Amino acid sequence: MTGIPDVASTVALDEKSVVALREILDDPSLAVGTTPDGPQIARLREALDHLVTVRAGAAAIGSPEAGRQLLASLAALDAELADVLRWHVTAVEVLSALEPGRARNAVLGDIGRGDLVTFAADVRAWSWGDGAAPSPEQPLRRARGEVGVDHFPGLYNTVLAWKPSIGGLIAIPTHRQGVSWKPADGDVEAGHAWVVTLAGVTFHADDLIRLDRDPRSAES
Amino acid sequence: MSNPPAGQHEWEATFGHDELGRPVPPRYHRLVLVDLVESPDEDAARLLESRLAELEERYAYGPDGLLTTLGWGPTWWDEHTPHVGLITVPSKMSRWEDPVLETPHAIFHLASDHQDVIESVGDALFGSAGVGEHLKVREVRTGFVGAGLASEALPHLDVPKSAPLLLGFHSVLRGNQATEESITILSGPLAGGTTQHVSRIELDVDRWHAKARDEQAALLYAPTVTAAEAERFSDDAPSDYESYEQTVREHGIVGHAQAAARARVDNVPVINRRDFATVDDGKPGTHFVSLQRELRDFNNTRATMNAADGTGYHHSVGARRRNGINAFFDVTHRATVGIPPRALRAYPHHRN
Repeated sequence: MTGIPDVASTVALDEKSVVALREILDDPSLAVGTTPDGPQIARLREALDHLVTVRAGAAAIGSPEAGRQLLASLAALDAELADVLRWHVTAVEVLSALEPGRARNAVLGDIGRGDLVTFAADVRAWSWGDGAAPSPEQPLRRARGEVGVDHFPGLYNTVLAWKPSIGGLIAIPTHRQGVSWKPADGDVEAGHAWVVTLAGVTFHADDLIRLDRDPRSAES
Repeated sequence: MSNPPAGQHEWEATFGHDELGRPVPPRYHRLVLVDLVESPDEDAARLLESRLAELEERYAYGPDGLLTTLGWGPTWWDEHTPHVGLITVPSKMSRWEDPVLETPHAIFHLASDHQDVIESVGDALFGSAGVGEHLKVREVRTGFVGAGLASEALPHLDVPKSAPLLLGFHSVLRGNQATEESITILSGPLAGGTTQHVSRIELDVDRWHAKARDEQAALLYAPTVTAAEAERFSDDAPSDYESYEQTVREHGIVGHAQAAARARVDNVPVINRRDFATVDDGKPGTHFVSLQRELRDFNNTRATMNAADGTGYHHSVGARRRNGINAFFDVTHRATVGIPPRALRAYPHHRN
């Protein structure tokens, strides 16, 4: 049981979505400078926009098998499209296995409404204002830090970063004030890693999932 | 000259009209984004007000002379006034945009039918005898709106000579704007003023103008609208927004105006657009200046315009493809300010 009822589709990708995704991948609408980092990212981004709209990422909530089916369906269309969602499927599996709680339910609820998430590849720096993570007593805290992400962060609604010094698994919404990103090595071609910078970003205690192990090790 | 109106944003009574009765805004515009050099004193406030008042003495109030607004951003209100949080910082407004979210202390909007007036005003404000000692220019954005100017700016494209903007159609009609009265704030620190959202938008004009005029009209207005009809719109774009869902189902196309009009209240828009075209930095686009009583009126309109629900009515409609003009523009910068009434425009509500 996930504790998140009625949000998961049992079908990974319906026929209409497959047709729409093929059209997008074959002939993407490349908005002007949306992704100055190359047409490949813009193409993936449009495809992911469509997956968000049809809530395809929610399919993974149904079961690990449903998540694997989603990746297989995407891989049949485009290998890189499946690759950028690999951590999303793993994250859903990890979160679903956790005890229900406000922070964990919030992320799964957003995924159920269509959001796409990924894991941070690493946490390069992190510091909480006043030296402590948000807590029930002090639910709002600001953080400064840098996390690495495997793919263009704008593809996702949320980046999940884990490190003991953070206090667990933190959900970083990519649209939150103070969040920005740049290519890790200054190269802006697709396929490069990215660094997300947090400049005094405000987090609530419900953005922090208390977890004492690295969830990325759960990749199936 | 007679005194200019109490509201800095009250421009429209001075506008002329074209042969179809459509309002004609000033042809040339400039946005000047500025930051404080240091916390202002009374001398700084007197200097700024006197320079602005001198300009109002020198030029007639209207497009043939000069129109201005001076708005103050979140950093001004939060750091220098008791009204913390009065103006919220801008935010990302669609999944596919990554704008620079800017927080200049203030934004000047200068407008005139005469480019030399704009130049002179820029010199008067920020030249050697201006206010540069107290306000440092962060960025200047320029542009235009008016028949002939768009086709002149993009001579390699087939922009009609009659079109005031780069997409080749009229966007300001008689009834498709919130009235200045309705966007005027009634109480509080900005009573008599309004709020302003300023975006820099890049337009993919090459891909847009490769489309047939009827296809452009379908995407810009509604799939039931032809280019010939759109060119004659004067009172409003009758894009039939109540039939939005059915139209999308039948045609597999979202019309930009049809989708955005769903944000109206009692069929009256809640934002007043002062947008103008630009080729700043060689990048064709729009400086989208929107005035509204509350910034959330803009946010709601933009979210509705995104038409994220379009896919639910027809599978070939995507977040951007076949969805209004979403596939042809990209917002690169956003900023927000509160425009006080004219009497308070110089460092409003400064906390000494």
